Amino acid sequence: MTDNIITELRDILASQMEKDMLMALMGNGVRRGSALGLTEGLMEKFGEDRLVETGPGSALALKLALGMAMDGMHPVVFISQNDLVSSADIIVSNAAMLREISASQFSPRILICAEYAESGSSRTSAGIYPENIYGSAGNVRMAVPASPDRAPELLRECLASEGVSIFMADRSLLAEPDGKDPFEGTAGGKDLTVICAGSSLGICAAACRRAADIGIGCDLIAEEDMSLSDMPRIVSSVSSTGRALIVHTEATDTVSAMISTAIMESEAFYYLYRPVRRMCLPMNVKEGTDPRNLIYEEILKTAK
Amino acid sequence: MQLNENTCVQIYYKMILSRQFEEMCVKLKDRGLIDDDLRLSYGREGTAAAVCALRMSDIIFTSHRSDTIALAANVPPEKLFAELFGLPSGVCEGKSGLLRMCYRKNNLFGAASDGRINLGIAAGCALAEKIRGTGRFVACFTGDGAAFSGSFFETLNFAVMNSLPILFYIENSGYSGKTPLEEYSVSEDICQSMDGLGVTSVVTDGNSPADVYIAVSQAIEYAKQNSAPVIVEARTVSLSKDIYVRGSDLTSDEEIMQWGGYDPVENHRKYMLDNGLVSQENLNDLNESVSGQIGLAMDAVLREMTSLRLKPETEVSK
Repeated sequence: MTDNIITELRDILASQMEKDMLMALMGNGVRRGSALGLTEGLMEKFGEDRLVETGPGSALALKLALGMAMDGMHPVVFISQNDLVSSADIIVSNAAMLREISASQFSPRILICAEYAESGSSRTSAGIYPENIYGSAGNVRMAVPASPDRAPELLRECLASEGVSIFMADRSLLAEPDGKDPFEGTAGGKDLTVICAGSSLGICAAACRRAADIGIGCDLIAEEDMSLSDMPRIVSSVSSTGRALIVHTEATDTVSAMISTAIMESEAFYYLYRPVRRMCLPMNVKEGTDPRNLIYEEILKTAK
Repeated sequence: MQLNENTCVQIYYKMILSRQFEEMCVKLKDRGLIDDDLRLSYGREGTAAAVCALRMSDIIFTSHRSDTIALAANVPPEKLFAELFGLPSGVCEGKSGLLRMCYRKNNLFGAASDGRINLGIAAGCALAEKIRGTGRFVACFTGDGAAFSGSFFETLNFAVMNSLPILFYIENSGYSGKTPLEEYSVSEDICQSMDGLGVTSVVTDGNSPADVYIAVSQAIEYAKQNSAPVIVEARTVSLSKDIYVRGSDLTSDEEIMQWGGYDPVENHRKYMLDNGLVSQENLNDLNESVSGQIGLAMDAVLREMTSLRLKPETEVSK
């Protein structure tokens, strides 16, 4: 994701706010740029009423958003990844359940925007990732762009979605210099299919590039919405490479288990040279250990 | 401020409707016809007076003891019974149960899974009303447990910062679940503990419906005029054993007998008679009328249950 992508995402938000007078942005620092800098400059355009400063309590921001959505507004809440795993689940659950238990009297429409803040070797939440909590939750749509180019389209889809959506972007991609494709050399390889979901995308891409340097061609596929929507592509890729490595972020990651099962039950099973390998990034990476090395080692083992 | 006859009778009617509704619920529970635990408002019917002080167009967020509030907001008792039995004609088509029920038609926005969450949700709704300029007032009913949580502080702080007109009506029964207030709070005074935020608050006798009505009416007027949140803390007691669960022994029978003197229904009856607003005969008629209404509501629910049971047999016989 480059500065240009951020500008594009910001323009999408501004354009939607112009069309939808019921849309409001809220969160800590939302009037000063907020997460990923997506709200920068919007305060001057739309004013205080539509950019609601909620202070550092993300849980409060989500509660307020639910109340606004119950009253017919379309709030977009900016919160941190840590808050998404530590204080948001009960409120997201309430929002997601409301349509069902109210027999559709209320259908709150809320978009939560967050950024992955701990790709690479810096970790703060002991391996609990939002996709582990929300990836398979009913009535919650989770969208994690598989590449910077996909982010605008996914954001548009989330803005148009009914119910509760969570849009997350990977901060590590921001570090890529302008004009450089962070996924160069990670797609279309013929030796191994690497499948990842959510926050492991950035580090998987780095590990695949390193494998390419020694002649191992990876085909990196990211599950964007945790709903197995990429299965046709995964089946096609595994049928071609005959090897699959699934990288996930917690031992109980249901998404990776579903992907593994789906491969076994598909025609790709007949092309497998070896069993599907699943790799869980450790809950606590030791100081000085780079998780990219761990994935790289698994790539070497699986590609043998 | 003096209450007129119509208002007094309306409050009394809603309180005895709630009490008789809950007495029927207890009977159903005792006969094993209801699986869920009941959260009773028995002894807290003064809350009905607070709802009467609101306009029909105002938005209400309920506590988990929601039936008194719903009945006071003119939700028909048959729709509540039906919800209790999980029937399609219930307020939420039987999908919610009474604890978290809502009924949008009457602007009853319901309760979240946790009373503390509801505070922020209600403030969000008040914010939406302010942004849209629709002029509907938001009232959030809650208990002392939620009012002593951090959520209440952050919500009030936000409401003050954003000049939100909103009423927080707190039933302070002295218990949060089964825990007495003195065991989890350094202060027994909710209003005092929020003084630092500069929120206007008033403590009233929750067992005196007339006092509740006056306090809430004045609080709403203040909130609207000053675009500010207000707190009404109603000191009350539970005449039931808090959460009605078979075998529950939260409070002793002696304690309940002692609390009997605080019965808001009885207090309001005396208030009306002492002020010559109504005769005992009229009150007897009203009681009979409510009994009839509860009976008809149960009949409607039983008819629906019967028709649902017969449906599969009819289909099979075809």
